[in-house]
Amino acid sequence: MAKNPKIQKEIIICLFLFFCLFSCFLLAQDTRTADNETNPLYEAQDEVLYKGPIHDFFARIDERKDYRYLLAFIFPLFLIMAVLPFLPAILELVRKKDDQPLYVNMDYSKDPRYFDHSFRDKLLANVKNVDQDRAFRVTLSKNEEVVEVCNAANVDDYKFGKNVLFLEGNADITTNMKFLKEVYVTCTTKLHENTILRGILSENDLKIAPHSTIVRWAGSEANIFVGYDCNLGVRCSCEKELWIDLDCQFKSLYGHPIFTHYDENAVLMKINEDQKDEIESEKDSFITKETNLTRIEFDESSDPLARQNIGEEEKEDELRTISDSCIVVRKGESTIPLNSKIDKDIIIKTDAFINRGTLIHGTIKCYGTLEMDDNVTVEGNIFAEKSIKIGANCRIWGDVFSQGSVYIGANTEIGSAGKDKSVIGKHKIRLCRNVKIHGYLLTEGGGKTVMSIGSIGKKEEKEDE
Amino acid sequence: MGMVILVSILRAYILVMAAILFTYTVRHFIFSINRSVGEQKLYYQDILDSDLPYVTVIVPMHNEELVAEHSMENIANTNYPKDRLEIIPIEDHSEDATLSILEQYSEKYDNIHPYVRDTGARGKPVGMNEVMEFAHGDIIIVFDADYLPPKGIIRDIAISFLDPEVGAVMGRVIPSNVSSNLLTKLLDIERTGGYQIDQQARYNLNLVPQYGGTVGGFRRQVALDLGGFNPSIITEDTELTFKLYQQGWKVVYANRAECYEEAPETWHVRSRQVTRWARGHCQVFFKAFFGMIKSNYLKPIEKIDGILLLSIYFIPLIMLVGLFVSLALFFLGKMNLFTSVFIFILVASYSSFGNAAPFFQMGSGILLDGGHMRARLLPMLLFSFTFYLWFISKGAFLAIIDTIFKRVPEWQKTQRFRKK
Repeated sequence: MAKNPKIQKEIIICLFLFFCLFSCFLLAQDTRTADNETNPLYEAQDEVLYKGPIHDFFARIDERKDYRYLLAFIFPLFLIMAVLPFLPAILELVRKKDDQPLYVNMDYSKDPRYFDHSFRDKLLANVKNVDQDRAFRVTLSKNEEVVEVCNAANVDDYKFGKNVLFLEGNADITTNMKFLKEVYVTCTTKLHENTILRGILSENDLKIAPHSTIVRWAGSEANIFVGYDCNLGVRCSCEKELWIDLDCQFKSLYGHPIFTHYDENAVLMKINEDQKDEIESEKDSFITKETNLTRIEFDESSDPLARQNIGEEEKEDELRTISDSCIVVRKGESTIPLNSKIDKDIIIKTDAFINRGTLIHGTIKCYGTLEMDDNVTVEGNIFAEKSIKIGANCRIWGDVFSQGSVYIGANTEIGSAGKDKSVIGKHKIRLCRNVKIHGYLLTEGGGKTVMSIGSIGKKEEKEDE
Repeated sequence: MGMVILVSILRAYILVMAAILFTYTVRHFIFSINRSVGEQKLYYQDILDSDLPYVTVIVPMHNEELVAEHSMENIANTNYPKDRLEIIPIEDHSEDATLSILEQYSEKYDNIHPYVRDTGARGKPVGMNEVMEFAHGDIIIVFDADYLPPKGIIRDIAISFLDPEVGAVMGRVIPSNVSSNLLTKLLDIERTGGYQIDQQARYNLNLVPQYGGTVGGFRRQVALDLGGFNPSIITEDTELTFKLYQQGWKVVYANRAECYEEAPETWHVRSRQVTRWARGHCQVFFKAFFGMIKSNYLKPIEKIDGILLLSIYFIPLIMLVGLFVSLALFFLGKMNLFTSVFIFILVASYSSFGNAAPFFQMGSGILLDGGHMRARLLPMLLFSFTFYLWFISKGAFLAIIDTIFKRVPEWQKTQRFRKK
């Protein structure tokens, strides 16, 4: 019984209500019993098989039109109905089975490499407890697991094993191997074709050959190179470069950068420094170089009606400035002309199309589908309530965030070296060849490296609508 | 003739009240369904970005010696980059050890700079207006003194301002002292319904989530451009919410940005708190109602939801008057509306599914949070319903008087219960 005086008061009130209810019931019973002996109805119904109180009750009402019995029946029933819902509440107040505050992880911080670091920290903290069987125990995901310590050269002996593996040395996991538990490797790891792993962390490079499957996560403190047609599970992250070949599936990636390189040989080689410098100089030369097309300035001083294709029926007063740094574009499908230059944030209330060669010094937010042609530069972030389609050879310096899907065309670069930026698409993400993302990529649906956005087909695009 | 007119007015009142209650019933039902089975909109917490904005964290305090140390310790230990963060606790006319506690933290941490107010009018809006003038942050994040912010919450709130349309962000409030007594348990359930279901559904449906002023943030310059906080309005957060919407900004809700708070542990303290909230919210109604209707930045559905949100603290007063009206009609023998049973059903459904909405919003919220046994406490909300019917009506009535007589309410703080 609870010792809390407040709850005791509440219980007393409930008991009082029950007392009243019980009293009413007793009153009804007494009344019925007193009348039973002189009730002609009972005499006449000797043959009746059931002479329960309910039968008596209604019979008495019919005969005598005596509604005291009705009240004596209805009132207690009402009390029962009224009090009944409180019974579980009182039980909960007494037993307190669920009276703790909702759990909030006070130490939570956004870490794309959480699985890797948490896994490694636990293993390294407990490896000193290794026993004579070269095994030790550690708690992973609330379950206690046995960790076997072994030489990485003998890894093939441990396939289909039920224990977590702690491999010392360079691991060369041969074809068609399957590991049901996580694997930690102290040096370089190479997975041959058709390997299936639950999770793996490699202290040095991790090389995943084609057709391999990572069920949960893969991590490396150096580089990761992924062959074609691999499934990278829930998360694949590394401290350096993450190279991915064609037809790979993923949900979350993290690397510096993430690079879709559709060349099986190149996947196994590091990117060279000369290639990086070319990409930087392309950006500078794109902005300043002369073109054959007339550059149209899209800024506040221009007459909005003189701009072509900015929604056929838009009027000047619909272009509203909600701040000194932002333009809002409404109505119709908004198309930003070829080679435009915009020096503000832009908010577009419907679908939008950004023509090639456009340069935007600011952030774009679109309430519909945002489609960008080739060779567009955005020195800011991109947000969309529906899908985002980025063309080829684009340069996005900020984040890409979509409540729909994200499609990124070939040779597009997002973010910059030394900084983390993100690409997030709720439904799915599709990356073409030579896409470079500096930082983080996440989708709730599925991510995939594809040959081209055009090959996806209209069906998938319609699914985003 | 006069009696006929009176009866007609009374009946019309009942019908209008029924229509209003039905509207809220439908609204909260839609929210519950959307949150339970509808598509959920992503919030921005998954964005990883090295270029975080400069943030100023403000913590208004008046006689907060019981809680100041806990909140300051949590805020100081945040993982937000220290070179992009300043913390300004506002010591506002305190008469206890609040200032000495803040001075200790100021000596220990370079980015904590207490702002002391011992002259001028007291109150959260006034203090925040003064701090906003010299704060360095592009973003202001506000925590109440009794809140316990987790390590990553400042980043989770600040990241949303990468979206150029976001003017303010509100996180989720979770009572930490749930196990204290029946009142705190009921408040926990109410918070679950209000945040996990109501706010999140409004965010999903692109309606009008509200900035609550206790675990959230806003753009400093935008707030200054909008005139800062009105010292005569005691719910400055509600006022900011509607000012932002009227000017084309958006308020987003961050369900992941969870923060513990201390819920009132006595009915007396709760009555003062809810009366204050009702009074302030209704004050904002009078100021923002026509602005919401006229705003060119809002879609019709946003205007409707905004007005329903603005009006919500008038509903208990409408219901209380409706009870007396129905009694009057009954004794006049004119309660022969075909809606008499209908009215009863609507009132009952409103008390179940409308503003309190226990079986839809709160029940759904409890299940989404993974709790089950606390759902058994839902019938106990009948007691708090009666309680709120009176005290919220009182607050709404006071707001009407404040508006008519241009009275400025006195600022009050909520009593704390944490042990030293």
